[in-house]
Amino acid sequence: MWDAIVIRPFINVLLLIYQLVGNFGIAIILFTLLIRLITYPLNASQIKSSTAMTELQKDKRYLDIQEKYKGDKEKLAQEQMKLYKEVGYNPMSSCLPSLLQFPIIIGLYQAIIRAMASTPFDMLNLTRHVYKGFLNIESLIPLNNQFLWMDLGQPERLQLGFINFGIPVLAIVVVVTSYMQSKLMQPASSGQPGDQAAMMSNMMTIYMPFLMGYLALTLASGLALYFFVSNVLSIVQYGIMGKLNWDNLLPKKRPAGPAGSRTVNSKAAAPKKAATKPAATKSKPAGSASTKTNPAKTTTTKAKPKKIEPPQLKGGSKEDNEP
Amino acid sequence: MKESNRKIYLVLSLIIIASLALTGCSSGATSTNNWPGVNADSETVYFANTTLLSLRMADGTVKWQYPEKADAKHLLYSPPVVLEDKILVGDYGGVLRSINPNTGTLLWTFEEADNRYIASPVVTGDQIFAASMDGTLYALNQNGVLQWKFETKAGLWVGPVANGDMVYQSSMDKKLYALKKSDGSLVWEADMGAASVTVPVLSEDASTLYVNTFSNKIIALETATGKVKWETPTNDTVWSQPFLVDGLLYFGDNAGNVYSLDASTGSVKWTITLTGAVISGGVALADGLVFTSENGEVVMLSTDGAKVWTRTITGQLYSNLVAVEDRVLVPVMKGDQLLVCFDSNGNQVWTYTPSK
Repeated sequence: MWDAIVIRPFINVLLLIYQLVGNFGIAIILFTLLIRLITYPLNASQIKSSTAMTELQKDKRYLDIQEKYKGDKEKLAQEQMKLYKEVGYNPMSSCLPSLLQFPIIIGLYQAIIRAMASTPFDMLNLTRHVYKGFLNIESLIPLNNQFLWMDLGQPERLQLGFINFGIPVLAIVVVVTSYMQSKLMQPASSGQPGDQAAMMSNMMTIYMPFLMGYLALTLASGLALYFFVSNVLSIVQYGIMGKLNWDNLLPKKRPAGPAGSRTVNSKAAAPKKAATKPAATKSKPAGSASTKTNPAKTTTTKAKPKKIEPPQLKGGSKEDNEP
Repeated sequence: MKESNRKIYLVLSLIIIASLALTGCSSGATSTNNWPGVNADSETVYFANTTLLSLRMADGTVKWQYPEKADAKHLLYSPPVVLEDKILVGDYGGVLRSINPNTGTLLWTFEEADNRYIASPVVTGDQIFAASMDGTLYALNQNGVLQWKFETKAGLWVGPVANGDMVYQSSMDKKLYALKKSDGSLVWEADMGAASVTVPVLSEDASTLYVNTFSNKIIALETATGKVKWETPTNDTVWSQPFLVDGLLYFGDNAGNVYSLDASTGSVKWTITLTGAVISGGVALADGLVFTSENGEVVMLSTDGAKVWTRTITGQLYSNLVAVEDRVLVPVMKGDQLLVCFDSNGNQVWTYTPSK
């Protein structure tokens, strides 16, 4: 079933691209790009939704609920759901596109693995996955797995004459792009002390590049190439949507003064949270939405309340919702 | 447990699951998935299935295992060659090994290949020929010292066939090469039009080579010039190694057909269809021909294509069968038993089941 619906069509499209370009490395790149284009609407919807969630987490009502019901998880969940309804935010709207994309990504991954058949058993299976009449298998086999210096069916190492070991260039590139991707796509912290989303996000930023790097180091380089292309395309997509968080990646400027500092990164913001929190909770109209632009503003009631996208969908003013 | 800690554990668990899923999905990406290779003499069976096992032909019990534990970088699947003083077997790390047949200890290695060995090595006279997936045919002396090498444009999935002062090698680059045994110089090359995954078969008088190709045909070529004598189409792709008995060629195809062809003309004498794809190469016993189908069917056929007996094994059958005197060895993939020994009447003599 899974084979017939996902894997087989994917393999045939991948091999069709290979037939057109004659190079398996380029075929993997184009195939990944094609799948990314097809799933672009799902991705865009997920990005928008998670951005809305991040903004909502900075909303005063949200923060107040966290504070008020921090000892009662059940009540907290109920109040959060009420708030989501009020502002018209659907918590499923960010995970549903991810769930829909998941089988596509797994299918893409498996199609690439199967197309790089390097044993008789894998080759036999591959020939059975090709639609008869759609592709000419006799002209396709053997697949040319050579791309640049890599054999795409084997783990990649660049051999240089003057050193006696191979350099895992692709694995290094995968680690770097995975790190960049995680950092650039990491949303700004809500500014709350012990922000769990930020903590998880930071953990993913640390562990995921190493995991991806390990996989790229040990698995066939065709897969490592897919990881790399996928990372780059994710960054490009976020860039197109204007969601890249360069502040996470670029070196932090030292705070010149209260008005000149930026607190996008949760770690960088941490020392200031103690000072900003009381002001944020006391100053009713201010909310905490300005943490992203200038934390100094959160300490004063002169700051204009920043409008947040989800609450604009429906629901009343912040004062109306004050508990 | 604090909520934050719980979420951290959740994230860590997700990362671990994701890594397991990715590495699990990728089995095969790093050469861990193939059918076993078998060879035997009258005393011993050599069974390559990640490691090399030496089993007693009498009862299938284990004599020795090399290495003690499977090495993920040097898995053994290629059928070994059995000589009096050594066993030769290539691994998936590109190492050709010579092993003492009595003790299972390593004698020497040849490590020049850049890619794995899927093909079984071939020994003729005092030369060893090792065909590698790096596209090179290596000629070695009996001590594993390189004499010459010949490079083709794609991987070599099968070994060569040798005769007189010539050696014939088919490559996945869709060509068949005729080389001088002495120095590896090219005598002729023939374009087969498609890749081949079976060893070329030499006619009894050594005048003709028979090659199956992915273009669903079997081709007969003159050994002297490489010119095509005849071509016969098959109903589907041929993975099954052909064999020649009394002027007739026998092989199976992916659609489950077993063919008998007149080797001199290529005309089809008879075909019979089994219940599944015929991927294994069959064998000839004194009482008939034994073929298997992928789905576990083991069949003895008479030389005129009638079924003599049928047996069923649980598992998938892809490896070439091996005949020793009146016995046939059937390697099994994805079955409880990894090797089954039948006599010519279809009686199960013994099975090899790995200890858990």
